Amino acid sequence: MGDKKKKGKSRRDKGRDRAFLFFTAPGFILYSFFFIMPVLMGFYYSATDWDGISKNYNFIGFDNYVKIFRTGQFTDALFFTIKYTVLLVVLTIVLGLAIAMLLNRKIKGRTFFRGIYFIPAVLSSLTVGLIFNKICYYIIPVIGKALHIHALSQNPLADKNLAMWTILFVNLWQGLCIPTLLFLAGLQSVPTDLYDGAALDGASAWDIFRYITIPFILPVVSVVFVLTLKGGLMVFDYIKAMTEGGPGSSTRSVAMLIYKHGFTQNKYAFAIAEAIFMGLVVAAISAVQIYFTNKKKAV
Amino acid sequence: MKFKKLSAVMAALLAASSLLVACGGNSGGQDASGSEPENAAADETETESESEGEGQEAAASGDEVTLELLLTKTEIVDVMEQIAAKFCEENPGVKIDVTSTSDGATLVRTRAASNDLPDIMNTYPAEDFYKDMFRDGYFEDITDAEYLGKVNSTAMEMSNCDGNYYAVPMSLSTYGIYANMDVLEANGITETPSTWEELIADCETLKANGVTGFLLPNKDVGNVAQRFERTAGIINNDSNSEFKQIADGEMEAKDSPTLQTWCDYNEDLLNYTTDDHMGMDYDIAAAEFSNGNGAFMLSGTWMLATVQKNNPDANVELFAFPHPRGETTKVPVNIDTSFSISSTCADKEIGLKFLEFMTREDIAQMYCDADGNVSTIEGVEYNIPQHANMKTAVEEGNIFLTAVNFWPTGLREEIRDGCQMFLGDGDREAFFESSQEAIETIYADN
Repeated sequence: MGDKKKKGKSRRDKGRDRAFLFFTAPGFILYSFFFIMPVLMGFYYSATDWDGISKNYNFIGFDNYVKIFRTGQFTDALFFTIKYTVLLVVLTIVLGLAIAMLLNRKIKGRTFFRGIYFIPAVLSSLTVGLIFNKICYYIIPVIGKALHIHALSQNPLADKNLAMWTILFVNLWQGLCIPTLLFLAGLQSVPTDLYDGAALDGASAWDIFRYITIPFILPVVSVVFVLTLKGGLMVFDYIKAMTEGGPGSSTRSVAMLIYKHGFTQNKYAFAIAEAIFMGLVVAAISAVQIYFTNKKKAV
Repeated sequence: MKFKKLSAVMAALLAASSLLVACGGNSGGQDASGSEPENAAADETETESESEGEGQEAAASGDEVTLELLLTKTEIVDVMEQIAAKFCEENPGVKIDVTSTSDGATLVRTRAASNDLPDIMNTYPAEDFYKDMFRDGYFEDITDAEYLGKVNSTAMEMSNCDGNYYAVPMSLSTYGIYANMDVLEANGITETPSTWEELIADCETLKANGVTGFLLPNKDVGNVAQRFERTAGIINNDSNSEFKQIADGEMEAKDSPTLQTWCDYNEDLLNYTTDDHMGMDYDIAAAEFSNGNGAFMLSGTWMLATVQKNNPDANVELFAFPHPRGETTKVPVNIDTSFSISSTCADKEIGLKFLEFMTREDIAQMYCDADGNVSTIEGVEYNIPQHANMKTAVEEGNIFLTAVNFWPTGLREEIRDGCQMFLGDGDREAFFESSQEAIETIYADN
């Protein structure tokens, strides 16, 4: 009897496995074709001196990888990218959470504010960059002069110390929307009776945040962390639209450097080598992040 | 049973995908194998027979042949649309789709990589980038075309690639300083300066009257690069040899007369520019200049269209950039517009017909009037009063082919960051250091 049941179940299981296989296959094939293949081709081309157009090229082994550190450009760009990413991640989580908590309160016009805060997300990042480019030239200096703020009395994008912060501001202005939405959803999943209980026990606001809110939204924080990390390490469009890496090379991210070498200097294979190296850096950072996330989960 | 079917479907799918992959790999292998001429020939016959077939089909069914005309110069889109319409009128059954991009280099690169070049497009035959593509067989060889006889010999010489021709040069761009004559006249200056001292004296007069002398869009790193390249060429017509000496260690960047003069003249001009020059983009500077908020701007003949768009009443004149050390002044020229047809052109016969059409006197005249650059086609009258000085320079042969055609690929893009920093902070030592590194790196790579 039991055997029969088991057998029947396993047949059903088999059927289910097949269905799963069937559903997975198209994704797997597409992924292999559009993702794994290009990566392998990238490795192949990175060992050549291809200029991106010529029909002939030579194999030069690992020369391109050796060349990456011939000048300080890559290290400078990497340092900039990491600095930018750390700031972006920290500010996104802190500000996103703060805005989400405000929007989660029973305030007047809550739906209106929730809508308003989400608007930047529907614009393309290049458009946002170009709009702010004009704002920085026409509006910021006027405000800066009126308020006698020396630093803002000229285009902040022209100042090598302010340019990164300006780009970061624009990135946050637009990039906060989705994290805020995710945090808001996370906050709403916290059972209210826990808050009520804590309030009855006389817990302070900080204690409630620390011991009830944080544990519940930790998975969301983790998701936001990964998304923002990726966005920061690959930052390109805001910089392209606003400074093109300038003034000088003070806002040149790794993606901008790769673009410059690949598309303005015809060093296609070299740019691919740089991209692969950057890929390895991202992989290493992701490995560390996954290690810590798993550790947290185990506890 | 079901499972077998399913696995058969899966296997088929996998096989199909691997076939696709194999195809991709195969063509890559062919590319690498070095048997390129053979393949190119095979490809050509294939496309030819295809296009013939299409042509016959078109004739039989009355279908249209559609050719794409890509322009990487957005300011000529309007006139080219008119010319294309005229061409279609004279050639029933032909349709020309005019497309344009402001980021030509990237688009051409991507489309060449996917073997999807537009049927007809404007190329820059003097530049290495296009010369390499010509040699690789991306474009049709038109050396034997009769209408090339109508093109000015200087322009033909500039577009020669290993003794062959792949493009019809239509116009030469010249570079210099645009003057807003209304602004100058309002400040009592009636003539454009012809020496560096006169230029600075005019700027002093303007400054005393509270008028901006020069509009320098220094935020625009592409413009900074172009200004560096054109003026470095004016300072030393053979800048390439000088930079080569630096690359070979025979000279240091800090001792280079060209780089030193470049710094000197920019230090001069920065005294007469706006406070926010480091935050200014090219389009903003062009608009300010057109509207009389500045007297001078460094640019080439292509800017006239933009100026007139911004302010149809603008009274401007282009004059030669005077040599900052008082040596002979020559005007840098480049082939500005030239048309080529790709080897993947859907109907080469019509493509070639279009090139011929472009060299027809009335069409070339129509193009020249709208474009504003000096025409290279025989019989075309150059009626652009704003560029009269440039016409004289070209006629007198007081010109040189601009430096970018001699510099190794990427030098302009490598050196520009240092140039921009110098314009911002005036730190000469840092500029020489970054130039030294840029020159060494780029010459070593090419």
